[in-house]
Amino acid sequence: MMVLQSFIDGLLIGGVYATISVGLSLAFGVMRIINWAQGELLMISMYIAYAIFMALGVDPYLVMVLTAVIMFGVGYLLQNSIISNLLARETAREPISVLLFTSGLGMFLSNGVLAVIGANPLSVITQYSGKMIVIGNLYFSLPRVISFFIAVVVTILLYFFIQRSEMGRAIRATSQNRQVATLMGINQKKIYNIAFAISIALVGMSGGLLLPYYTVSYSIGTTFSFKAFVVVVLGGKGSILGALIGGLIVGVIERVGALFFSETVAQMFVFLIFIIVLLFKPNGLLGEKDLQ
Amino acid sequence: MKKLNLKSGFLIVISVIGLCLPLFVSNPYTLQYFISMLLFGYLATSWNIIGGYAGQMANGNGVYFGIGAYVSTCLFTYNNLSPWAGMLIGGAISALVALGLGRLTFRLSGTYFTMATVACLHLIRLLVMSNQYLFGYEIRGAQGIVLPWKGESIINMQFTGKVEYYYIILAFFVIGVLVSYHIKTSKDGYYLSAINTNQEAASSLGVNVMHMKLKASCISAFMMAIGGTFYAQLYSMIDPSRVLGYDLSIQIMLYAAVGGRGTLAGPIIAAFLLSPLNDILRGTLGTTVSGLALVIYGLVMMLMVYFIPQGLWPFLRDKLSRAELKAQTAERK
Repeated sequence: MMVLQSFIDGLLIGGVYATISVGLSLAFGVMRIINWAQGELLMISMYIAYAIFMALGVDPYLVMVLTAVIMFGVGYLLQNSIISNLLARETAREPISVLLFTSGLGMFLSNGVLAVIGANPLSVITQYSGKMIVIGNLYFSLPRVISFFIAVVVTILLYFFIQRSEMGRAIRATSQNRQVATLMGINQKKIYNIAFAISIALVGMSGGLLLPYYTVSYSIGTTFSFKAFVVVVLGGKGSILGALIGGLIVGVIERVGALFFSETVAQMFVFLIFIIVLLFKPNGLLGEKDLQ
Repeated sequence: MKKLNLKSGFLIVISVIGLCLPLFVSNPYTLQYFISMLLFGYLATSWNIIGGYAGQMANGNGVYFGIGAYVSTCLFTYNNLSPWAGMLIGGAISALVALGLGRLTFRLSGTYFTMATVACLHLIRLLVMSNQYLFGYEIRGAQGIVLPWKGESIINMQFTGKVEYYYIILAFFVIGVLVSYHIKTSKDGYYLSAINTNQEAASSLGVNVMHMKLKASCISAFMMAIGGTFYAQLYSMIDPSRVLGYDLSIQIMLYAAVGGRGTLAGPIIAAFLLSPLNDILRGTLGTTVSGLALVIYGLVMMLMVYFIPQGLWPFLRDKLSRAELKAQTAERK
């Protein structure tokens, strides 16, 4: 029973890992860049969600929508005004300047929060906090269940958006071969802007999803970055469903591992998966082979 | 010929200043600034071997610094082993970890290597933070270890003043720069630079890409670990958030990137210019506004990457040689 409880708890948190990682994976697949400030942007999203919640006092899931919209704008601006210029200068296949820039951004954000807001962790009490869903002997915290469903539904919606819509096809085409896609009349810059903005919007959404049950402090960025890397490698770069499955797997391993051993040992298992995947299946569970 | 004289003259002046500095600077706090300049110059030089010459962005390379600090400290505290021997063991362990990570990730695109180094850093920090004992050594988790005082001696690498530490790190720094210079100008250096420019082309011309990258990564890790031992002996205390922090890794990478990756002098210049900022801000503002120096570093990094992507030193060198050219043409007229 304990195992089942931990398993489901793992799935619940894994859903949120998935939305954080899907954005990272999308940008990695389309633009071949990793946003090294992903975890720090999540931290900022949580602070924004916190501020909105404190100021307006509205439902936390409405706050989530607002945060996602704000972060969409942040992502669009960041890509349109800065990262696109960095990419335009790069001739190498893997743009190092973007890595350096986003690393600097991450350091700036986490320490900026430390300097301005301080090291005290913040959390909110919402109308969902502390509520439980009881099924037989199993107890589930309500905000976690709601967050999980929103995360999974949004990820699946995004999958269909990428697979079926015109914009999604253009994004996929650009990720497969940007020269040919450009020849077919796809505006590469616009695609990059949209893809990156979606990636950051998902982070914003995850910030909103975590707020009702997760304590935010300036230093949570690296923890989430670490998990997101593992999920992206596990799922395969650019694969949305891969990131979803990867997120769930990481969540489950963390919870079940913590039940039998300890939190640290569970993290070691997560790292172990990272190593095993790199060894035996470097393209990930659902990733496509790198064509270029 | 004239230029060569200028260069060697400059080097001689710098060396004399470096050697005689403690004669003029008696204040230990001021000397501390110079020690940390040299330490970060040394670390940035170490990082530059893998991140600059080989072009493999090791974002989490501070992990080797932490491993070095912990290994030598445990051996010193509990086994009475001199840090001079401990640093070699820490270096060897770090090089082994680098070898393992490299073997796994170097055949994939560089992003995977970067992710693996960061993931490794995170894992080891977690491991140290949440365990009171590790491999039978009492590491005291997040609290960290305070090194016991075993008497002032070179063998213990413990001194009451700062002057001795200054000379030790000066020696490490000089050795590090010589190693870096040797690698850059040797056959290996050209191989690495070929890999950095175009890996496929280098491979097709017979460069053993995997071997070269592993070599660079191991040397860099070994040097980094020795820096960690020095840090532990200097401050007599280590804890995971300091020696295994992500910010430290980024800070070291930042000096190399801002100064000019792949150049010999760039990382050193940037470390000398930027690292005192941390100490000075801490000295003037105290701990009330922590993290401020790192905020500035982050900002400097973003601005530099955006406006002077090649780095400070190549930029200045370019400007200088252009000015020289202009002067020459003006002379001819």
